[in-house]
Amino acid sequence: MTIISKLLPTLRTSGIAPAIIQTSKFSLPRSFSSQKESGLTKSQERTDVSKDVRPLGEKIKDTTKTVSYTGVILAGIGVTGVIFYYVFRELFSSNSPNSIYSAALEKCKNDPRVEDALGAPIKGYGEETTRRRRTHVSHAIYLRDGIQHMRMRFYIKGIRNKGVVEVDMKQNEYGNYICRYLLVQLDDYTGKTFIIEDNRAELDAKTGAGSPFPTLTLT
Amino acid sequence: MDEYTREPCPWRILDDSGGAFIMGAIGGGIFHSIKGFRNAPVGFSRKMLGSLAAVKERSPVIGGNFAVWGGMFSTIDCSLVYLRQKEDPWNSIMSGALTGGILAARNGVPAMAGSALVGGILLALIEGIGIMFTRLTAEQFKPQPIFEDPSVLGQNQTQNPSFQ
Repeated sequence: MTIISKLLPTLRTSGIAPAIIQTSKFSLPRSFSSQKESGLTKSQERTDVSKDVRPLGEKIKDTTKTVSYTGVILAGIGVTGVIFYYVFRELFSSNSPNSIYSAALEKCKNDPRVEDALGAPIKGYGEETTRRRRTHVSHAIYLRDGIQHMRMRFYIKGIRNKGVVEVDMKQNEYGNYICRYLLVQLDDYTGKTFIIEDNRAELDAKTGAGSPFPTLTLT
Repeated sequence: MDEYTREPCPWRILDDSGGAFIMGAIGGGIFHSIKGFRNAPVGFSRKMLGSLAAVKERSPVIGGNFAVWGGMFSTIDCSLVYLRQKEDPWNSIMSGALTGGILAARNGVPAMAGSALVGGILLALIEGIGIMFTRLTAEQFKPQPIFEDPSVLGQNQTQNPSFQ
C-alpha cells in the first residue's frame, strides 16, 4: 500500500489510477460461506492453474539433465548386458571355444597313451598373455565348402613332458560342432603324434560334395 | 609357445600384487590429490600443501588395499589352476568371488555374500571384455585362409596359419 500511495500522484495523471486502487484494495482472496448451516466451507480454488511456475530455461535445463542421466544409465546397462552376453555364450554354450576346449582336454586326459607319455596329472592351458594368464585358447573359425569349421590349438602338460593339442571341428546340419580330428603332438625332439580321434572319413563322406580327402596315413 | 618360459603360476602372485599396488597408488593418488585440494583452506599454496598431505597419507593405504586384493585373487587363481588342472575363465570368476568373500570375512556372512557377488560379477565383466575383444579382432580378419588338413596327421602342425 505504501508504494502505491507514493506512486498515486503520478498515477492519478494517467487514467488508470482508480483501477489500481480498486484491485489493490480487494487483492486479498476472501472466502465466503455459501451455506448458513455449516459455518466454514472450503474456499473455491482454481485447479486449472499450474503450480509449476519455474522459468522455461530452468525447465529445459532440468529435462536435459534427466534425459542425459537416463542415457548414461541406459548405455551402461547396455554395455554390461553385451559383455554378459559374451561371457554366458562363452561359458554355457556347448559350441563355444571354451566348451570345445574342455571336452577335448577331457578326451586327452582320458587317453592312456597320452597319459603314459606325459605323466599322470595333465593340465591344459591356452596362449599366455602379457598378464601371465593362459586362459585364452587360440582358435579360428573358417569356411570350407560352405560349412563352418573351427580349428583350435592348446597345450597340455604332465609331470614328464608337454604337448600341443590340435582340434578340428565341423558344424553338422543342426549347427553343433562335431570333432573331425583331435591329435596330440609331443613338444620334444621326437615330435611324436597321438591321434585320439579321426572322424574325417566319416564326416566328409556324409556331406558328399566335399573335396576328395587326402590319404590317411596314420602314424 | 616358447619352450623356455617357466610356469607363470606361483610367480604371478607377486606380479599381480605389485601391479595392483601401482594401480591403487596411482589411482588413489589422483583421487586424493583432488580431494585434498578441495578440502584445504583458502589459498593456492595451502591447497597444494593440503593436496600433497592427503596424497602422502592416503594413497599408500589404497595401494595396499589393492595389493591385498590382487595378491589374494592371484593366490586363489593359482590354487584353482592346481586343483582343476585347467586354465579357463571359470578360474578367474570363481577366484574373484572367493576373494571378495574372504576379504569381507570379518564383516559377517551377509557382507561376505554381497562382497563375493560383487567380486564375481566384476571378474566376469573383465573376462567378458577379454572374450569380446578376441571375438571382435577375429571378426576383422574375416576372409580367412582355408586351412589345409595335414595329409599326414601331425606332420605340419607348426606351419599352420596364424590363429586368433
